[in-house]
Order: sequence, then C-alpha cells, then structure tokens
Amino acid sequence: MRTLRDARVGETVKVEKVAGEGAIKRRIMDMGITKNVEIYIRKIAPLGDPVEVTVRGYELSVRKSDAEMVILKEGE
Amino acid sequence: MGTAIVVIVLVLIVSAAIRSIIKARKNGQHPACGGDCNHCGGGCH
Amino acid sequence: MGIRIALAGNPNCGKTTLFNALTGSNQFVGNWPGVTVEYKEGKYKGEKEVTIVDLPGIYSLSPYTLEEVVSRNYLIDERPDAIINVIDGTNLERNLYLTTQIMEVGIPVVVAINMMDVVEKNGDKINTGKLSEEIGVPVVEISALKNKGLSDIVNKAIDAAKEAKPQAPKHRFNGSVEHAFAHIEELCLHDIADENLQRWYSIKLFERDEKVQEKLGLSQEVISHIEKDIQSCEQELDDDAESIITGERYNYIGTIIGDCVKKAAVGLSSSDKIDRVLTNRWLALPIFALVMWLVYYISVTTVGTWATDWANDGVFGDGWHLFAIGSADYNDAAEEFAANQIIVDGYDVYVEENGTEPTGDFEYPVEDEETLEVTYETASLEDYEAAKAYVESNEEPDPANYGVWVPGVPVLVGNLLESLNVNEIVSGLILDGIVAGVGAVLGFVPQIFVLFIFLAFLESCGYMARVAFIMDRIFRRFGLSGKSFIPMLIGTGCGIPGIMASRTIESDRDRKMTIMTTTFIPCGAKLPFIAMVAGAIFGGASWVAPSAYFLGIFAIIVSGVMLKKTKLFAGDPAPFVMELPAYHWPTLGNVLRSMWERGWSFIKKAGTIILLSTIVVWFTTFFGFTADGFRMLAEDEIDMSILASIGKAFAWIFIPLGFGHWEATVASITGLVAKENIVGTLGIIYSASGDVYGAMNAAFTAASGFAFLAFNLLCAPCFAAMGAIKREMNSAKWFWTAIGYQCGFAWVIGLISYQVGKVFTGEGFTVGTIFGIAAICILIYGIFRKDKYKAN
Repeated sequence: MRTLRDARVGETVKVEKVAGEGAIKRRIMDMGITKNVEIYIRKIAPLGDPVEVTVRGYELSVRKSDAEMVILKEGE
Repeated sequence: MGTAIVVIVLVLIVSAAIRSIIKARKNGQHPACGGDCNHCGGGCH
Repeated sequence: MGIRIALAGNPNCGKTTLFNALTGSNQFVGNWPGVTVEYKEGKYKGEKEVTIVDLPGIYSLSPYTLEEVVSRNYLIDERPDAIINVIDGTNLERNLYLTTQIMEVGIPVVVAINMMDVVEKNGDKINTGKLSEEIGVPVVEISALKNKGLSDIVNKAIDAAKEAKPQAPKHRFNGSVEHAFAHIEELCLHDIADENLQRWYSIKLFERDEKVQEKLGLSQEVISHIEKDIQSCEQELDDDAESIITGERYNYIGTIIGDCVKKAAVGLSSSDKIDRVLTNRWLALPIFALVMWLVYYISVTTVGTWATDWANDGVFGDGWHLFAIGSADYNDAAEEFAANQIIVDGYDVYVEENGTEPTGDFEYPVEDEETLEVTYETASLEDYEAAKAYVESNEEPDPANYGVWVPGVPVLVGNLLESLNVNEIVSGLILDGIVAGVGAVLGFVPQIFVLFIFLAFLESCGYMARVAFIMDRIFRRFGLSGKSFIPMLIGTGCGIPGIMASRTIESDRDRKMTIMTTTFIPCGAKLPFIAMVAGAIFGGASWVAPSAYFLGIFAIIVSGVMLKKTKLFAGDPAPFVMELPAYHWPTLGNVLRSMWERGWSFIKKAGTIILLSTIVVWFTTFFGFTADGFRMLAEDEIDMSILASIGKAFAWIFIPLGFGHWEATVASITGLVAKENIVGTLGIIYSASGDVYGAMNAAFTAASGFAFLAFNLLCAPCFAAMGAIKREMNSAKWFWTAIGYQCGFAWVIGLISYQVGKVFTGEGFTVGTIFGIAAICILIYGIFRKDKYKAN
C-alpha cells in the first residue's frame, strides 16, 4: 500500500482515501486532500521533514507522520 | 505641604491603577488581558 | 433594530483587513494561518445600527479546533442577521469548501471575493455572475486593501439581513446520503425551534458530530438508530461518513470551478520563485540563519541595545545628550577624569591602611561597575603626581557642558520632590521604588518595539510559516514547534520579548511549552550575575559563562522531553497540516499597527500590576524592625528588612542545595524583581567586610556556588517576564504551573549540582549525595519513560 509519505519530489499522485480517524484525518480532508484529488509533491524540508505539496492550487505543508494516513492510488 | 500633595497624587495614581484592574476584571478581562484576543486561552473567565 | 453581520472566511483571506476597513477598528492582520481566535466586533463606519463581527479564520466548521468551535457556536447560538463570507479569489477551491458549510446554517449569506486585483494580475478570470447563479447567493468582487466594493458588499448584506430569508443551499449530496438526512430529520429534528437549522443538524448528526449530539440532548436510543442509517449509507458508498461529506463537497466545488473560472497558463508566480530560493534544500538553512542573525543583531545587539541603554541610562537614568551630540566627547573626558581620580583615591587608601605614604610603586583597587569585581593595578609615584595634578587642574566633567543635556526622569522627579520639600520616606518610595522599578521595565519598551516590527514583518510577508517548515523536524522532538527557535533566540537578549514572540506559534500546546522553557536561556540581565559568580567563587574560570548557556539549552531539551509525556501536554499531537501562504509585501500600516498593539499591552501592564508590585518590594526592602523599633532603613541595613526576615524564614529550602543562608535567599528574591539585582543585593549584603568577592568566596563552596548559579538561572524569571508569561498564558492555572515548574526544576538541578558536585570537589560522599543521584535517576526516568498518553 503506497502512501503520500512514499511519494517522491516532483511526482504527481492521486489519492485513494484518507485512513485513520478523528481530528487529524478531518483536518487533512478539510484542507482538500480527499478521494481522487491530485497532489503534486513540491519539495521536502531541508532537514527531511515535513513535505510541501500543491493541492487544489495552493501550498500545504504536511508532516511525514501525517502523510502516512493518505493512501494513494496504485499505478498512476 | 509638598509631602501632602505628592502623597495625594500618589494615592490617586495607585487607586487609578487598582481601579483599572478591577474594571477590566468586571468586563471579563483578566489583568493579564491586554485586549488582544489573538490566542486568547479564555483563562480569564 | 440593529443588524449584526458576521465576517467568516479562511485564514489569510483578507478578512481582518476587510474588518478594519469597514469599522476603522484596530486589529492585527497577519499572513499566518490562525491569527484571530476570539471574534471581534465593530460598528460599520457611519451606521451605528450595523454591527460587524469578525470571526476567526477557519477552514471548516468541524468540531475539532478551538477556532472552528468558537465560530460555529457563534453562528448557531447567536444567530447573526447575515454572514459575509470572505473568499480569497486566488484560491477559490479551498475557500468555497467553507462556503458550502456556511450556507447550511440557515442564515442569509453574501459572498465577497477578495484579492481580485491579484487574480487579474495573474491573468485568471472569475465569472462572478455565473458563480452567484450556481451557488444561489449574491457574489461581489472586492479589494479590502484598496477599498473597492466595500459599501456594495455591506449594502447587499444589509438587504439580505432585512429580507431575513436564508437561501436554501443548492448543493445536494448523493441520493442515499440525502435519504439518510431525511431519516435523521424525521427521527429527531422535526420539532426544533428554528427550522432553518434542520439541514445543518442533520448533516452534523450524519458526521457523528459529538458536540451536536450532546447539544440536542439525544438519547442513546436515538443515536443508535441514527447510527444504523449512517452505517447502511457508509456500506453502500464504501467510505466513512466524514469522508463522504467532505469528498462530495469538494467534488461539487470542482464542477462549479470548471464552469466559472478560467485559469491563465500556469507559470511560476513570483511567490513561487521566492520560495524556490528561501526553502531550497541547500540554501534554506543558511538563509534562515542569516535572517535570524539579522533579527537578533538589530533588535538585540545594535538598535535594541542603543534603545535600551538610552531608555535605562538616559530616560530612566541620569539623563542623555540630545541626538547624542557631545556624548562621545563627554565620555572621553569623564573616563579620563575617572582614571586619574582612581589613582588619587588609591593613594589615599594606601596612606590610610599603612599609616605612611608609599615610597615607591603602590597598588590600588579598581572595581568593575557591573560585576563588582575588584582588581588591583600598580601605579608609580610619578603616575600619582600626574594624576593629582590632572584632578586638581580639571573639574569633574559635567555632561551639561557637552551638547544639549536632557536630564533623566529620576533626576527630574528627584528635583521636583526636593523643591517641594517632600518627606524622605515618600521620595524614597517614588524614586527607589516606583521610578526605579517601573523605569526598569519600561526601559525594555524600545527594544520590544524594534523586535515586534520584525516579527510583524516576518509574519505578514509569509516567511514565518516557512520558519516552521524548515525547523519543525528538530523542535518537534522536544514538544516544541519549529517557530520556538525565535523566542529562544530573542530570549538570550531579554526574556520578555522572547516570551511575547511565542505568540506566532499557532498550536496551543507548542506555544505553552515554549513559554515555559524560553526563560531557561540566560538573558542579558543574568550576565553580570554569571560573571560575578565566576569571578568570586570560581576565580574567574572561563568555563562558567558557557556552562550557563549549556545549562539553559539542557534545561529546555530535558523539560521539553519530560513535559511532553505528562498529563499537562497529553492528547493527540496537533496535526501539522499547515498552509504555506503566498509571499506578499506587507503594508506598512499593518506592520506598525501590529507592533503598536503588542507593545502597548506591555506598557499598560507596567502602569498597573508592575507599579503595584514595585511598591510592595520597595516597602519590604527598606522597612524593618530594628533595635529602635519599626522604621525605614538605610541602604546597608538590608539585613534588618522585612525582606531579610522573609529570607531567613525561607532559607531552609536551600539547605539541600548548599546555600541555606538568608543572604543567598534574599538575593534570589530580589532577583525576581530584576535579575541584575542579584549582583546589587549581594554587593550590599557582603560589603560590610569591604571585600565582596572574598566574602562570597567564603560563603560558598564550588559545589554550592554552582548550585546557587544554576538555581537562579533556571528559577522563575523577573517580575516583568513573569508578567509576560501570565499575559501569554492568559490563564492563572497555566501561569502558576509554569512558574512552579521552573522553580521546581531549578531546585532539582541545584540539588544535583551541589550534592553530586560535592563528590568531585573533594567534599566527600554524604547521605545527601544519594538524594542527588536519586534526583538524576528521576530525571532520566522522566526522559525515557514510555509516553502513555501517546495514541499510537
């Protein structure tokens, strides 16, 4: 199972679903990371975490531990 | 004479300071509240 | 009848700028997610009937964050007459997500698309007429910054409020979801008072919103009934309820955007280009270091120091030269005169001590003004003759003869009191108590203002969010935020602006942790004390000063790791899913307004609480019971003061730390007023013997001396900084927790320093050493124990 954590810089990925529950999950979804949305991985912070992505036309910073909850579609 | 005037002024200033704290409290403000509601923890209520 | 209009929208959508433009009220605008937590009210310019309420910037109406709960409670419970939904035109998609939710609360909504100037500049086109048609509410283009479309949007909102007919949201969810809503409505919502709220409640119940379940007072039976409806729907759509709702909202928005927005060809915007450099893999850290160094260099070492010196030594000192003209000449002259004077005095001291005049070279003492350290220098008889001739032929330089001399507040007040012939007790209270105490605090105001200009600028231009992005990885380990770096850096200069800088941290827990640990870093006022301990007790050893900084960093890391695992900071970690707003040039007005609001609250505090506490401290320092009854004391009678009695009563606390005498206790207490007072107090107390450093050396061993140093560096900071802690914590409970923790932690570190240090300094292994080792074990346990509150 591939998650947003595994995605490489410069890649554009498609979301299958957001796992987990509660506040963190809701927050991730509220920020626009929902089923079928495309995410472009812009860069990784100089110290290796967090990750900056472009989603729905704006920049978002996500910690790798939170990015793990975002499950990606395979083979796209 | 001078002493009396200075003491009166001093008492006025101190009571004004105390009153402003009490007034702020009555308005629901904590003495620690500067009226800047950014990040107000609401600890004043 | 008055009309209330609420402003709602995402963080950074320009909502606060709009609020200021509409009401003329003062409020900070920052390019930082989550600048306002509580809502603010203001009257619409020129129309007293219309009240405008500024809600916090939010992304959603979920029940999970404080800002969201505040906003939705306001909308649901207070029922404003209309809502202006402010939308950032450059980011329509995410902003409309909130719009879909706001439209469900059953209040008339008008949409204001802000930042249209930027949209046009980017070459994008938004068809507002079409948008208005699709979502079913009026849509107005505005530019809050340039005052465009403001009266139009308010008039539309007033009209909508007067009509009082909320538009039914045009958006319909998937058939089976709507079916579930219908069931829920039928089951428990058909008899609620305000039928406009029916749809809102049914959606929230579908999302299993516990706050709404509680509010409606649903029985367990009803909840489990609803649960069945939800589950069958979840099964059919193969997703959980929250995901279904969120996903459908965004899908719906996707179709609207497709119809109404034409994006220009995607190229790199200037914000993207800036960001490429500022958060570049290799350049980010050096640039960050440079920015931090600049902030520190300007606000703490150069401009900040000039400003603080001017305020402390000038305005609240003897006085200052207007525009600094003549200042340098005066200093040269004064220095030369003092250097000669000291040789002449040294000669007299020699004569007094030896009964005869020196026949050859003689030694004379030189005392350092800040640390009270006494060094000896040698002068020949020729030096003495030359010095004597200089002192006799020159008068002590008068600053008033150089440039325009402006006397300081204490001098002016002193002269005034003298001319009024005021009683010496009253003038003592005013000069030594109030003017000295409040002045010491106000002396930091210029530095705070300089610092706040920088913070406001970094915040509003968008770099602060990048600071968090760059530094998050390191600080997260200690339960701190990436942005905790700034308060701690500033804290090396002065803890007060350091603590106040913590408010740029948006996560409540990270901010509280930062406030609790920032003052562990030695501030500028602690430096003379560190130098004094190093000189008097450790013979000027060079390792003492660096060890103070290492101790501070060690205390922050250990405290962070330990506190993170306690109940205080328990709970799920706040998600660090943060918007990185586009860079933009902040307006001067916004930066200055932010600086002024923050600085003013500090000044106000100095005028009230700090004023009162200085009076109390003055009283306990200068009054006491003597052989001839209760009276005012001279400066060298501090051992009879009320403060000394308090010191004697509490000295036992420090017996395990090796300095259980009242002198050290009193010094620690006066250190609470201002840390540089420790030096002054010790100077007065130990001056009786004539050799302060010698007396201190006799009173402390190496181990107890280091314990004394460690305790005073780590314990509660000065009153002004405590005031800042209280102000930023905004809760009595958290304030006392912070102060209590700092003092407790300082005590434990002092205990370890003394009891374990004793073994190494040859004082031997005692029962106390076992307690010292036990304390180390407890710290290690606190650091490495399992975090039982951690969710996974």
